Amino acid sequence: MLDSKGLERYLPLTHTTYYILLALHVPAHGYGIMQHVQEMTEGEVELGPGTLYGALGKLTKQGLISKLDEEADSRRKYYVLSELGRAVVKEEFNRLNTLVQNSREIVENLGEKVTTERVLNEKEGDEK
Amino acid sequence: MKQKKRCFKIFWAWQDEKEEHWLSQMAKSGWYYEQWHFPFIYSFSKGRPHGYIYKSDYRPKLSREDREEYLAIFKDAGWDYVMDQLGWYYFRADGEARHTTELFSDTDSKVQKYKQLLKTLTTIFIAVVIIYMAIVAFNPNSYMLALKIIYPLLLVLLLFANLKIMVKIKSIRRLKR
Repeated sequence: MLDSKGLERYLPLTHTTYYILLALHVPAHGYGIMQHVQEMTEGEVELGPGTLYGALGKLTKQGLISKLDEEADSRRKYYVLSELGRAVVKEEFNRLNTLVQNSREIVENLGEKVTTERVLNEKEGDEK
Repeated sequence: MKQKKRCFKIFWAWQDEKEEHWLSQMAKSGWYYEQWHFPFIYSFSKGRPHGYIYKSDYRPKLSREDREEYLAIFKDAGWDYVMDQLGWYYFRADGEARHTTELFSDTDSKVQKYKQLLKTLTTIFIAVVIIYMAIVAFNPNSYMLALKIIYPLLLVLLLFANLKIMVKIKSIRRLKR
């Protein structure tokens, strides 16, 4: 298994990639992935079929997901997250989590109280 | 017998959006896109005017198995396959239905379509240059005269197409939110 250094070359993942990988924690076909992602994001992320098809090809080539052999409906191909894919998702999650942790305090204190007025006052102060 | 109609209209490779719009307008007035024939002949069949949206995708070299899967994903997402020609796939969706997604939902995949197109055009460009240099350019026969004019024109057109598509890719990247 790759260490976190080896996994880093897959990161950062795009929104599309991250959500597709998450959806494939269980086997699913193209349309299943679209629905899954839509549910996961409460309708915010809608994958276009062209985007999804391209991503499935690319991710399979990279070995992050794998195509399952013949299912009952041969027109629809099923995919599932590979071991490597699993590791990459975890690594990305940790990366994002660290980002949030490290910035939480500062961002929360930015609050909504930073008004234009204050910024302008500070600016004036600088000029003096 | 279904009523048919043929139209001659030129859309270049970089005018895909313009073409999509035109096909959608045709459906609105009851003409459904069916086939494309060289040179630039679009055939339509008559139907009830309806607000269908037409979109095209460019996928040269899909294997038969890949093609089945590809079309199934589009079908499931509400995009009906219309026809394909020279690697261009045409789909239509009911624009009056409650909800229709775009073919591409992110910048990368949208750009990928044009990158693929760029690859094809560049390959053709190189092939034409080679044929021109090897057979046409230094051939003293007078019957080659026509080709000596046509080939350079073709090269200019291909170069122009490449440029147009590169500009397009750039503008898509700039629009990225």
